[in-house]
Amino acid sequence: MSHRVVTPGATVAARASAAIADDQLQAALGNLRTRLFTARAVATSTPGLKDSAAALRRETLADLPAWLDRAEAKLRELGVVVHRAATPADARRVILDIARHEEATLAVKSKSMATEEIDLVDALEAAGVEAVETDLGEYIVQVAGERPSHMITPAIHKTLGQIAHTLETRADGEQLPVEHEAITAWARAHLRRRFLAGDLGITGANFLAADTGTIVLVTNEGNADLCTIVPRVQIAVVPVEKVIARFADLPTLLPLLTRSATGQRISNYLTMITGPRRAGEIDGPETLHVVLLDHGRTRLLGTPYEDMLACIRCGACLNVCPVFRKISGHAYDAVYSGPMGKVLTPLLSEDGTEGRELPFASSLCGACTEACPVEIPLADLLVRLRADLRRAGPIVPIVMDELPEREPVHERLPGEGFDSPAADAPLLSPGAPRSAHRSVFRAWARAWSSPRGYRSSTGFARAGARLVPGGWTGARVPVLRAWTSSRDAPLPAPRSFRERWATRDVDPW
Amino acid sequence: MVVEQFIAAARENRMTAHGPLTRSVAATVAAERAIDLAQGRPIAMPTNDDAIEALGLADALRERGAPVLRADDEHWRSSIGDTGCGITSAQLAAAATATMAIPCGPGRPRGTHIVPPAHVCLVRIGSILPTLEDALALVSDTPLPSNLSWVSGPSRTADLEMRPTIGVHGPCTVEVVLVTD
Repeated sequence: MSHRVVTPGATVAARASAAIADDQLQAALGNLRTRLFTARAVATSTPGLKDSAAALRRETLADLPAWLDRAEAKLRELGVVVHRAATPADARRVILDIARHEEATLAVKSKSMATEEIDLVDALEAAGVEAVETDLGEYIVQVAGERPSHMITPAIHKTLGQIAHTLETRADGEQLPVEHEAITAWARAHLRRRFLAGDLGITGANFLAADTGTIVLVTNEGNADLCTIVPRVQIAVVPVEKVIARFADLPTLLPLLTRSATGQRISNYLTMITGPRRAGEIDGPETLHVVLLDHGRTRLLGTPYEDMLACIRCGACLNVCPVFRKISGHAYDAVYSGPMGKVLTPLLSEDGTEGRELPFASSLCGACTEACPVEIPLADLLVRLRADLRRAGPIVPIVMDELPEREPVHERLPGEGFDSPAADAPLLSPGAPRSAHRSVFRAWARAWSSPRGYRSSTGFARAGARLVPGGWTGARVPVLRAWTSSRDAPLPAPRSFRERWATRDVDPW
Repeated sequence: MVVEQFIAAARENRMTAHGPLTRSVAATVAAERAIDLAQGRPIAMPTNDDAIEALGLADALRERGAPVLRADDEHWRSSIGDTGCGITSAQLAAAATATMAIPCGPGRPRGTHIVPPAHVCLVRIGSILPTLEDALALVSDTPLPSNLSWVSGPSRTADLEMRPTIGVHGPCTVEVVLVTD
């Protein structure tokens, strides 16, 4: 893969440390603030809509193979050429065959995470077909030789100055002003020539309605429209879970997608494509191909991970995630980042090697679960994945580098803590066997399973705290060093709630 | 009620809405706005659009000497990139979001609303429904065209530091002419 690794480091912890130390990145990430409020507002304001959307997604997933067959039959009836691709390699082969058969030289692309998944741009370029991303953010990362860092705003990790600098490499020596309107106008003029010359239009799909065979594309820029008007051939790469049962489900799903993604009541362009160009029409694709991409998805059906296929790629979980908001997408070194990426990446991995450490790089705070518009229990899936991945083999522990002092403690990336003690500062004692961990946790679980055990253990903790003048930060209490390397271990209050309740001493501290 | 709502939402989405106007006034306003926006370049227009025919827009443009690219022109595909404004009409509209459903078909090329740098869209006030959900529900009961575009404003992006910026690929300007029934 030719994408440069922009955030250096061999592990997610190393890349996260590098990301946090990158001042330009941290400045750019400040722009995510509005999206945080958006995601929170949507999460709390549309409970009825969320429930209906979640139910619709589950209904399709419960019988996905049948809905796929139905969609395929309808598409064929409309004259669409349908391909099923089990793996990214299959999808690439199908698309390169089409490009070769059509003698295509220029492909214009609208933004699609599915095409990122199959590394399509690289494959086309290697086959001698120029491929141009037309979504502005996607074009910026393409020119920079990077991957999108966010599925909705791919260049969120770059400041305006960096963007101008990047695009100048395609501006024939012209200097681009560091100004929003000027950069937009330059990109418009520059990319327009490509739109009007493209012979292959490549899109993804936000939804594919099984009953009408309609491909739905959502953009604000209008680039999906442009990619499907001029080129004589269109290829839509559609992951299998994008199928929805009915066109009539769109009134529920579309407004929820646009609101969760950008906070807009609606995106500027909703494009609904039902079959190729028809008799008497003078533009639009003469040939329309749909590549139904599986890539490990259908094997999740009927498992506890089936829920993950309900995802509509709105990015809301990224926007609320305290980890993503600090480290951005590249630190995940995966196509999908943020909470949904942490779940999906290891699940889609063909050989089980990709993204194995990602589920461990989470504080399990649950903000993602709350923000998800289709009610995917992301935090629960992360916990389940941790257990399943650990059973499958050893996991590289998450150990953060020393963080810059300017970071307030509560904003730090939470390390993985108990499950993965730092190699150089083990939780129990140097070289403590895993069975020792297990027995500690078992004893803890037993103690806290009874009110009496709970009372006496917290009593011990308070007694212990009194023996440590100034508190038990990691440096002073060796056994807690690993735990406190990336989080606080607050001192217990001098008197427990139970004690204060007993005497109705309710004054705070 | 829906008309006022549509106008307010259009303004919020950075579009200009004219009217509601009677057919003859609407024809004058649409023609003059298109000529102004096209800045001397040709105006792209469908040949098979009832709302445009009913207004006699082709005549209104011809009287004013404006160059026009009609959908039956054999050079449409090579010339659409040089046009200055496209005129379309909406099959349906949604008031709450100022959304206009623009279908393609024979004589109604799909590039009209998106390739030129400006777009004038005719909306019959009788075709305005309260919400997008209403409009989608209505469309789901009818045969779908090969391309149906729902437009709610000028082309824009938030890819530069998340600041909304207008006019990235499609039209920089969208004006709506509301026509009484």
